[in-house]
Amino acid sequence: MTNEDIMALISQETGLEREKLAPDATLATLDISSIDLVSVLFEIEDRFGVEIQPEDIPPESTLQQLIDRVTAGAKA
Amino acid sequence: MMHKVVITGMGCVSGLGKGVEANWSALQDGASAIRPIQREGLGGIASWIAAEDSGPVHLASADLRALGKLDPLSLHAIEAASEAVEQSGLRGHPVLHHRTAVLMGCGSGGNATIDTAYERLFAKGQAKVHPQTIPASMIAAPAAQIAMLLKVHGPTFTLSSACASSAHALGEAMHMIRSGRVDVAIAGGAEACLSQGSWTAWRSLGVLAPDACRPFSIERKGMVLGEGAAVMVLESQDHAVARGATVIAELAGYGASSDAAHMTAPDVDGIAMAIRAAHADAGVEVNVPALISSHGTGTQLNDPAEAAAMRAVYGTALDRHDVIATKSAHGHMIGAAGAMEFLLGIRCLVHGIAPPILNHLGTSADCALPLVLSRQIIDHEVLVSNSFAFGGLNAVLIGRKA
Repeated sequence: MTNEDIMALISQETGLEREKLAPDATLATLDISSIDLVSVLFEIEDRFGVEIQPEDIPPESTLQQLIDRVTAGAKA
Repeated sequence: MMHKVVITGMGCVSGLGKGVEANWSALQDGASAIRPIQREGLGGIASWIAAEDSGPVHLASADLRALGKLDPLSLHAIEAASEAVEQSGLRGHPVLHHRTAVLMGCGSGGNATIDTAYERLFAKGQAKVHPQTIPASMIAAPAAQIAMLLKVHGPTFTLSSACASSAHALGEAMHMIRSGRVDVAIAGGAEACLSQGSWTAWRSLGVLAPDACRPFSIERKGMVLGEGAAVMVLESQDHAVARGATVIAELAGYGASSDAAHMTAPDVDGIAMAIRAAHADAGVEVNVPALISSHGTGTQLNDPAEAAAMRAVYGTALDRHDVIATKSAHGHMIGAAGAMEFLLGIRCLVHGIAPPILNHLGTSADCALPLVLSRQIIDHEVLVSNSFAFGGLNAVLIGRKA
């Protein structure tokens, strides 16, 4: 699992173009809604076996923070 | 005052192709989209839409993002609605915001989405399904998504009456305009029933033909499933004329009835009642020569019942009419069928051409009708489009040249 894998997954689930997904952009500024986030987390769990609760990823989180969270979960 | 209702835009997608031009061109050439299905888990024949042809060409992906996950049902509906609204010239028009309705007819919701969820649960033993399974598969999704894309704030919903759904939708939308409730209605239907679950259920019912769709023919062996969508922009004549819109034709009448008899067997009296009601509503006598777009499924039960109902309604005037059965080309599109057939029938009136009923091996004695068996030039002013559904739910639409 690379950062790029996660970015591609986020792009697929949110319908946002990959180029728009800067690591320091927040969910709020990207207009990633709660249902988008839940869909992203569902796919992450499905594909990488990492379970993250949506309430742990508030709207002001950056994509990098989300990626770090997934990577940490995978190592744990 | 009753407002006259006209058609100012049309859009469709089916196994025959994407867009009205592609469908019309294939239909009048006598082409058929019915062929072996190449889709995982399905075997047999159907009028199917290839995955690469599935998806709206009329819209940027940015427009679609807010709609969430889209089942093929929604993709078909959005594509057809976008084409229809584009043709009507109403995109961005203020009437869409407050004086417009969206009324879609679907026989079922997003079957592929439900299949995927059930496969996870029951085949793979997984505990969770995609979080958007409900919004993506709900039968109301296509209507809601069309309204979101076009910023329609008026009455918006999906109605369901199985194989007559979109005929009912067009008819009820016509009444919304007649009564002055709205000036414009985006109405039609969509279906995406060629998923493994839905396909298997249809096959288990024993109504699918193994070889071809042969309406009113000897050796007919059943229906052939199709998928896709057909949508029209209906508008009060006053509104269309005031904005200088091009009027394609008039939606002049609608008759609906319920057999109240049997879930799957058609009833001659119930069918005849709907046809008579449509003529009365349109103020069109039954002896006025018409192009009749039959329900014509090619099943053992439908075709003779439909023929008997037509004989009962039209009597000695029957031979003044010409009967077509376009399911032989685009398959039975279930919830989308009524709108698809009415749309193609309107095209026939406008172009003065009736397409051939395909795969005909000879007329069955109990299906004697003035069938169009080869491409024919016509000059009818009137179209009668029949839709009869499981549950005995009947809807007949009448169109008239502008």
